[in-house]
Amino acid sequence: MNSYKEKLKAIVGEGNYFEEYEDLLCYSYDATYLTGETPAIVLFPTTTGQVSDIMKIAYDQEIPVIPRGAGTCIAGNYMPVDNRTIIIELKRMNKIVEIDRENLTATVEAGVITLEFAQAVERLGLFYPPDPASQKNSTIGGNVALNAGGPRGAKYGNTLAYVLGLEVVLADGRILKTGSKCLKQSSGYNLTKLFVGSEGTLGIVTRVILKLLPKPEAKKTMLAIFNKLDEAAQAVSGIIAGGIIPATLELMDNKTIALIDQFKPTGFPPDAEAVLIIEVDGPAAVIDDELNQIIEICRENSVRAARTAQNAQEAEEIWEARRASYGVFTRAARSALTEDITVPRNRFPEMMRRIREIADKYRVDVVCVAHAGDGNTHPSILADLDDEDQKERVEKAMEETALAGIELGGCLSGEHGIGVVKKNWMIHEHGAVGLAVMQSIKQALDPKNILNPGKLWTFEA
Amino acid sequence: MKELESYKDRAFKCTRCGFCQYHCPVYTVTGLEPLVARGRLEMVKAGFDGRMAGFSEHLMKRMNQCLLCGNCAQNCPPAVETDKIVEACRIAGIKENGVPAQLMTIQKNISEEGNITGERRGHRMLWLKDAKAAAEEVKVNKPGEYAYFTGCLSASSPSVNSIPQSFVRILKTADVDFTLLGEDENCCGYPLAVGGLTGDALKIAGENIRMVQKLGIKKVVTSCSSCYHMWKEYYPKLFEGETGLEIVHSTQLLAGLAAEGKLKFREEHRPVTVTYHDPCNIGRKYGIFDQPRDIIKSIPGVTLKEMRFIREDARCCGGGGNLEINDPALSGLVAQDRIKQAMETGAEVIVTACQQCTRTLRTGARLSGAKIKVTDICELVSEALISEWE
Repeated sequence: MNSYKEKLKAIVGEGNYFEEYEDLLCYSYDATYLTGETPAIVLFPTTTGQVSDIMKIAYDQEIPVIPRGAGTCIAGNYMPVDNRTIIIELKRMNKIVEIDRENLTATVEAGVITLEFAQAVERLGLFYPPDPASQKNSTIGGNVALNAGGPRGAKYGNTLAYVLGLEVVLADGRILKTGSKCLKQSSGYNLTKLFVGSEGTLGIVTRVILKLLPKPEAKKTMLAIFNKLDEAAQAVSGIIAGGIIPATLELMDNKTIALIDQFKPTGFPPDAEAVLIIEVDGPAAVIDDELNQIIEICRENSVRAARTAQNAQEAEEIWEARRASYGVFTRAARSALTEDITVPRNRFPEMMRRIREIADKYRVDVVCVAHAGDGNTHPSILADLDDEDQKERVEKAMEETALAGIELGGCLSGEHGIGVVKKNWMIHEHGAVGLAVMQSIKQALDPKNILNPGKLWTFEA
Repeated sequence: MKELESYKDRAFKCTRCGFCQYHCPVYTVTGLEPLVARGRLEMVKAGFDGRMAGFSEHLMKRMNQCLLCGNCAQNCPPAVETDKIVEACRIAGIKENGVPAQLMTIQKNISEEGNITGERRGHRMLWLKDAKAAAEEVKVNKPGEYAYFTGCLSASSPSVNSIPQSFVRILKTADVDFTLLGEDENCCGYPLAVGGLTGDALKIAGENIRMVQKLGIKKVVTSCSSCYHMWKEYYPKLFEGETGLEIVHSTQLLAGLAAEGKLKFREEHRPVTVTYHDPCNIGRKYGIFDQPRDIIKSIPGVTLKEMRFIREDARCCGGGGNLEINDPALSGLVAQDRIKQAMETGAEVIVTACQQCTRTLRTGARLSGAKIKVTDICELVSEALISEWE
């Protein structure tokens, strides 16, 4: 065995070191439809010091390193592109170090599971809003690396809005501490923000200081059913333009509703072109008024029916249907390729139209759900990628949809990141100057290009 | 991987979403991708697409570290039945690599002495001699309404002997017509069947079925959830049809007796808060959720506080799928995690309805130093029961 492998094993210990081929195969993918290279080693460090020691060796030997959490990302963000890769799996650094009630902050290790953290906080009457669909599995470290969002993003923003400080191991093994528990920080470059959404290409986040909120007093959930997709999209724009920010404002299109009806009937009318799931939260005295205004705007946009859940169980039934969407996509097709285009909120109706037109043009089967309240669309192409002709049409449709979003003033990703899937389109969003600046930062922090290489951009661009 | 051809399409339905992680007790305690459905399916896929050849020893190790609890399959968005695929791998793995050492011991014990521990067959009924109910009043190998199939662990493991002792006392008190099967009773075959030794399981199942049929008995009752699963699902499958037998779990019989007013409990029973652990092999697999809870709630002074993961979502105790045999340390970690969930309720007692769960959870409580008592529902009922069988 190579001596550097012996050194790595000594750092993490026998039970945290894996190099059997069968095990390594299980780290050749993330939740994306692509399969990457099989890495060389998987390590489970348990302290920041161990991560630092690993990086010193990797830096010295110039070996690619990918930090990894639950591997639930869907843009090929953590898929190895090099078979020499060392995977640093942070799942065993999973302590909630502190929940500071006086400052409304928490300090957690990178491997803490998002939902477990949110529940721990909630038990104390506090609130951590980011709620990615993978929250039962995803880790806080992964959420930071991809700036994960979720339905509540409409009102509460992505993970970035909650990150106050970080502990990061740099490419050469140095340990960087950024930020603090302070809510206001105007002290030099904001290095915290730099690392959020950097997809493990600039450093390995090992510890995070997060901002918490008081738990909203009350919430109400409603379902609005529309005959026309366009009317639903216009209602979304109307609500935002009316100055109302619901906690969530989710849209599901007809194909999604029909598929759910086929596999897991939930009572959503399969002939409706779209439904909106709207949740308002805040002081009990205020949310009824907000809800009434929203219903009024829905009526102005020819809503077929608007129903408010009368209790927690009815609300849960509505959310149950929304959560079923991914499952029914995977039952209906071999692959569901999901995009994450986000547009300014007033362009949302236009984006929804474009998605439909592009799908028709390339004869691909597109289903669409959206975090409509923040302009974040998730069109998914249901496809069989073994069919070469179909694969080509799918790829063209994906690219054209992405570029349409940029044309409308949007961005390639609202919450999933770029990974390998969208990297070729980055130039269209950021331009040559934008990419050059990003690459200078990369060069400064990771001169040997060992941290999660092959992601975010193409160097030739 | 040719043997798995019929599972190929199912394995490739996995979209790698990773949602199985949350539901997998083994992944929860290890964080190790090769130990979760997504990872295991990737190894199977690799066998089909040429990245891997055959059933290597390491692949089989990973397949043998599965609890077969079925929690992943139940929650899988594209509904991949990974538990079924893992079972198929175990069968195929044995054909290719032979029987793994730990399973070979079990195979030998069952073939020689009819039980998993290798204790002499003649010792199988010793538990009855210690029973409170007078042993001579209990029928052995005689016709009756029910045959009580005690199972290996209950019969031979002193730590759970009190389960059949309690159940016999309850049955006698409620005047149920039943017989035991005596020293001829064999292991139900569960460890063989889930270990991949289908042929051996078939042989032992045949002996058990014939023993009951010879007595003209139509109903088999068991207090073990694994035995229940074998008799209920595997036996008819092995025999490619109906065995003509009705299979009843102790909780079903007890709930019926309670409803008929045949179980009278002492009112002065000490107040106690309990939580209930659903065994996978009666809960998730057959929907027996309400009967044990109804029984628990019918006992005066007993308050039921539920855990975070219950009914279909209940996490396995750590004893499923031969894990205790294949990797005792891992089984212990899973058991400790379940104990932790039970401790969160503040209960003093975990009640369950399976000898394997009882045993694994007792190990878990011991390993984690948790101050919580683990008891089988038969023991709980018997303790509160007004009975002349003292």
